[in-house]
Amino acid sequence: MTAPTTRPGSGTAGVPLLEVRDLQVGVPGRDGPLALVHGLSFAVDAGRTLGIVGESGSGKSMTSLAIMGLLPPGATASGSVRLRTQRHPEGEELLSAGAGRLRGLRGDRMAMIFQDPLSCLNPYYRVGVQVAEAHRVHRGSSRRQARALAVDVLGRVGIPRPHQRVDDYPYQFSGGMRQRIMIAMSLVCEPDLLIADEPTTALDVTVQAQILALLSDLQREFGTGMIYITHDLAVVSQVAEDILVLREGRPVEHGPAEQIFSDPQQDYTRELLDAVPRIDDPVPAPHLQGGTTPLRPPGTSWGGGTP
Amino acid sequence: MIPYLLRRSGASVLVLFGITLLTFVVFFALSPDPAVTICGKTCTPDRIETIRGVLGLDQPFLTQYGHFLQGLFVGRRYGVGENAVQCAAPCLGFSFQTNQPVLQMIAARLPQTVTVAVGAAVLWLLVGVSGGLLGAIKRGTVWDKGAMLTALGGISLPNYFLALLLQYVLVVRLQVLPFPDSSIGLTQDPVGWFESYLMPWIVLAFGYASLYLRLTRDTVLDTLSENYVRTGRAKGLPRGLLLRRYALRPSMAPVVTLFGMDFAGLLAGALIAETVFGINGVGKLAADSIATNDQPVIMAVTLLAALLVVVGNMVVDVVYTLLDPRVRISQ
Amino acid sequence: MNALLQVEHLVKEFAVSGQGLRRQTLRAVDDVSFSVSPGETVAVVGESGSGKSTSARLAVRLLDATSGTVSFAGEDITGLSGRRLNRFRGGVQVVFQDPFSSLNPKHTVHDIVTAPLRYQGRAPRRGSRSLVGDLLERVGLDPAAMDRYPSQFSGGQAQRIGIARALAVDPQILVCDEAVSALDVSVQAQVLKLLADLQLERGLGFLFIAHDLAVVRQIADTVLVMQQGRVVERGTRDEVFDRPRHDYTKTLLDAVPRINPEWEARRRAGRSASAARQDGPAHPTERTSR
Repeated sequence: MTAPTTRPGSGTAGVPLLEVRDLQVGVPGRDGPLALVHGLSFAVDAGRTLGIVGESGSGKSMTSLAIMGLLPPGATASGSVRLRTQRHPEGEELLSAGAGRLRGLRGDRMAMIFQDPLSCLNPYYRVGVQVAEAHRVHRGSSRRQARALAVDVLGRVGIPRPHQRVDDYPYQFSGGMRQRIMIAMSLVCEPDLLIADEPTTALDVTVQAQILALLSDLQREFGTGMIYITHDLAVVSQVAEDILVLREGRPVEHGPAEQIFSDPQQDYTRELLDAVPRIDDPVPAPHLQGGTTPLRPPGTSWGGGTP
Repeated sequence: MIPYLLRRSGASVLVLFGITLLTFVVFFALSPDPAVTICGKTCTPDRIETIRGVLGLDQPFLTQYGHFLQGLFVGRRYGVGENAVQCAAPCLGFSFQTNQPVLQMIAARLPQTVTVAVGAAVLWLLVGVSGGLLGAIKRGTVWDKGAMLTALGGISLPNYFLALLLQYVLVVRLQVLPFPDSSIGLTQDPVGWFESYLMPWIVLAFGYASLYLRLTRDTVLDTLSENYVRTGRAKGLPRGLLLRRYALRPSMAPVVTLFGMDFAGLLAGALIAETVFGINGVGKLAADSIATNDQPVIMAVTLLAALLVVVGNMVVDVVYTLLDPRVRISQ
Repeated sequence: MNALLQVEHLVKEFAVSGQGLRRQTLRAVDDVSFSVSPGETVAVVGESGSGKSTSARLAVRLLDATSGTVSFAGEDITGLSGRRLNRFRGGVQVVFQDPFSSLNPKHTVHDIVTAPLRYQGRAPRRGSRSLVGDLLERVGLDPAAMDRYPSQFSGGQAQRIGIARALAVDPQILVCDEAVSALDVSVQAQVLKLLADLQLERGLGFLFIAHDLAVVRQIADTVLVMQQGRVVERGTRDEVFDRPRHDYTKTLLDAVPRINPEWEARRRAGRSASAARQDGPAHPTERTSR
């Protein structure tokens, strides 16, 4: 990574970086395949953020794993996921790409950060090694180059005294610092697409604010297209220009953030927005019902996400 | 780190003292009169008395124990006057059967036992760990099931049976190997040496490899479900690197820990394998001395085994702190 | 009203392994005092390491304090144990954060809900199935649930089971330790409403531990802000949220993400305008966003 340049990314303005059409994801179930995602379509532009919002079981994490080619064994994905790459400027189909090609793209052209930074970092290796790993693999840098790069990147994401801390282990950092390390790790090859899956859910609110600011700065600097996955509507309203609302694997509403928040068209979206507690407004939402929640039939399972 | 080592060493020394006392008490209380044993068939009460005097068996318990400890640290003298025999430290006594210094007897046999232990260890680590790793990454496939089945066989098959079976098949029927002869040195006759030790290695390794295969497989499977493996995949790391850094390395701690203990125990003498194959090692010595009730030898071998286990334990603890950075930091 | 549960000058120190032979201690809770009265919701907020959860555990005697006192209904229970402590347990119950790890997966819902009664040696007067059925209905679950196992429920339903269990002994104080933090936002709203209704019905006092300030704003009467084991600010809900005095409180409040208030206002206006209108189309709506 040299001096910061404003790059529009492989996608030029107006032309989407990632195009998803009719994505379906299924896992093997007891009585045949269980569909977790039903027919999603959306696009992500370079330099912009798409927020994918949903509750547990909405399929938002599965969607991101399908894009990255990280679905668990046995899961199947169909439809079309096209990523604009140098090799295929018109869009390369990821769902049918070979394992080797996907491995080459992951960490280099598309990167992902996850929810719990402690469990997502290898406790047995120093932070500097892990941060530079992708660069060594995809760009063939030497150990010395990689270490210098790691120091540089750690400094960029706000780790104090990076020269010393590059040799520390993940355990020696706080939660917010670890997430910064994850971010550094994901951006080291300057990917075009960054998928952030609930990156601040496990963090304190003050730390969350810092991380969101960091992501925004870095996005501006590198022109990365970002998918921000969360259940937190307040966070997504600050982070995303476009929003896709999911429910049980199906798209509910999709559009610019301002429209979704000020003029939601679907009942579900309205219910979600009503249910969000407002810190500046103690009036409880009017629609809240008590009442009986019907029992789910035994044996059915919820698809993914937090309970 | 240093304070930790000092604390552990102190604790280990206490444990060893306790073991010497316990061993001594057991032999003191339970064994038949050694003087009678030494005396043999043509015995007179006078002779028995003499022997008892020489060995100090007429003294009170604590005095005997004291002499014993003294012998271990500085050396002791058996008997009085011109017939007295000096025994240098660490003095483990003299064999009742052969009258040889026990220390010498053990020292002479240690190389064979070490050869058996080290060879078997290399073999079982290679087979067990790679088999377990293969089983874990190819979980559910024929490789995994085959590995687990073999492991089950290894654990269930008594090693003396396997030893006899191997000897029968390879030496007697197929005649591809000679009867093991542990007196062949590596330098004199490498091929013969290898042929002699091959079967004991296989017998020992088979049982342990099975355990290590299962342990490795289970640990690696656990590791593969960790979130950081997903991060590694998300970075597009090649399979080899992923396996090495994200699957194998994190799984090593339990394997290494167990290995330390097992190896220490093996060094104390693989009794059955040595006996079946006629390897003249410490294990066979122990077996023989139990059969002839040769107390000093039994005691010495017991102490050696305890020492090895205690030291092995300590080494394993230290190695563990080196293996897991999280433990290291909290020291 | 008179304080029912009162803690004063609570201190909790933990031993932390230090270098060499010197043992270092960590003061997780440093001179914390508060009280909960019937019908009152006291919220304790803070970030990780603030000591809020530890304080709650000390107040319920799940942990023993290094110093300080805990009293219930005027009686000092700091050093109690055995049967006398059990009486206290009948007055204060806890609802935990993760419903699935606080419900024994091998027990039926019926056994889970009646467990506190059994442990306190109290048999329900009308028979346990009747009691459990009533409780489950009250928390919004089908009484038939009592014969099922926790794994067959969603997070929100499991949390309701936890609440039913807490209510089984008819306590006067409920301690909610991040009780809604792990729930989806719509489920969270329902559970909060349930808790509010229960409070009105039964005059329960709540000790509500949370890190989500927006949730706290909805339900608290009194708010305590904790930082690194100390209470840095306390007051009524509106005092703390509208007129914070301590810098840390201000930092916390500023850091909370908010939906753009303009958008909110427009939505509210739009909703009241269309209050009588039919609901929108059933298909997902695509708007041109470019």
